[in-house]
Amino acid sequence: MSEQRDMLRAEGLAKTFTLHLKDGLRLAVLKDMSFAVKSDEAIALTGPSGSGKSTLMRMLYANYRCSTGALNVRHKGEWVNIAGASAQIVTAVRQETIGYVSQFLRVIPRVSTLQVVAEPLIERGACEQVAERRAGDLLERLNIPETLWGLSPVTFSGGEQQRVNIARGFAAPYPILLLDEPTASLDAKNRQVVIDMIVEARDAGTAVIGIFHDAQARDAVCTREIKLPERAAA
Amino acid sequence: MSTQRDTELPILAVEGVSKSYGEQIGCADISFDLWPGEVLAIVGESGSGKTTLLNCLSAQLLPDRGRARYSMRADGLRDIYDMTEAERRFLMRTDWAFVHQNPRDGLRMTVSAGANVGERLMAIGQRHYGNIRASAVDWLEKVEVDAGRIDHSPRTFSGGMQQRLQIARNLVTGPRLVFMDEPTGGLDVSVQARLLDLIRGLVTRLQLSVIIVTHDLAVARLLAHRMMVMRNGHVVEEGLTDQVLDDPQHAYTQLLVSSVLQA
Repeated sequence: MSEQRDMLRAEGLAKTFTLHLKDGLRLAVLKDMSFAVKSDEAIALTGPSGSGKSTLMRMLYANYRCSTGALNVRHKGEWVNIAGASAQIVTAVRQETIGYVSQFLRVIPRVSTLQVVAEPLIERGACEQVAERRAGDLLERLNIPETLWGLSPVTFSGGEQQRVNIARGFAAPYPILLLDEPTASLDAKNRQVVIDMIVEARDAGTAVIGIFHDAQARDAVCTREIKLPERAAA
Repeated sequence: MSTQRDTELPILAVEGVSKSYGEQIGCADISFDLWPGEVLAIVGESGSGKTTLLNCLSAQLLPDRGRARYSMRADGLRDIYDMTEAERRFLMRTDWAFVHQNPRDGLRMTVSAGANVGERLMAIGQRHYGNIRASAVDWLEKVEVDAGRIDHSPRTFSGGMQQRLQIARNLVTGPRLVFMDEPTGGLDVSVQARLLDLIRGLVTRLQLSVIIVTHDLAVARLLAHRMMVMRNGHVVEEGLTDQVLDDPQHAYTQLLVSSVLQA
């Protein structure tokens, strides 16, 4: 019954890194992960350090390739397996369906904060004005003063960069949102803003999957947790 | 990049392109599709065959085997190696552009900056002096060269300005496919950053398809949607840029990625 609301289904995902520069050392980080995530759920990935939470997040964004398994995503009403999909398909899924807020903003010299935040909307075909207005609203909500919008975030503090990163992740309304420690370097006031934004997205039907070391944020946001086992010896 | 590509043709479909110099392999059995609006980086160290491949793809060098079909504006996919020399030259003047590492290879150093830009327009039949000059001014501004320098010789320009002028000269005719050979190669780091940002903006705004050869992984990360890693003439790995750089599978790619100095 509720399967109709599934947004993402992972089946038998595994990830083994082969380090060719270390005589082909093989690191089995994830084994046989299967789970489904519904619209308006927020999942916390938990587990001890080294259990592969960040690796799994990167696999869900198709940044890391899956060694085995299927990763089906509901993209424009159809199921698409992004594990091993072509670059074209992954790009389309990232543009429309899966948003990702990494821990650190990758800054590009000379690109203004407003443009950094508006970019995902422009890539989807929004006009510049609409995209920049949305970007401005988000930056304002996240307490980035307007005097900074025209500057590249290169010189911003860690917390400011993180908030720019979050604004960018929330600019487009993705049905699936991946969050890697979104509140890690924020003060109490901004942490609350981010928590509110995640809850609003979830309640509006976004499937949220995140890593939250911050227990308060996790409790406020998440409806369920997926616990990763301690890594088995390779 | 557009997402509506199910119904679209690739702009360039490359199959089994190989080129040897006697016993020496230049590039071997290269196949890929390039899609409209896509930026593809070819990376690898000196001698990996990336420049040979670029020269084959832009028909400046004919391969021993293989075909490269280009999506013509009017009549669909055509193998560029089956075209007449005149047809290829026409493509090179209109639909295609080639940005050389050394601006002196892509510019005419004996004529003014404005003439460098205008020349490509005249080559496709424009004759109205006022229009040509207006286009030249417009393009100098787009590449951030002071329009007051329009009558100066590019010899009086700095390396970064020369490179930006070369880009203006190439893009003025509205090409759809641009080849770039280490476009930021010989430039200072600060000049590089400005040029990369400029290229990035133009590529997005004009929806250009680009094949860029570089040995600099940071350039690939910044500009390219997709990348191919070459070694000894073969493609050893390809994929989305972030996949290849963040989760390299091949031993050689792992070596390349791990050899980058972190500033």
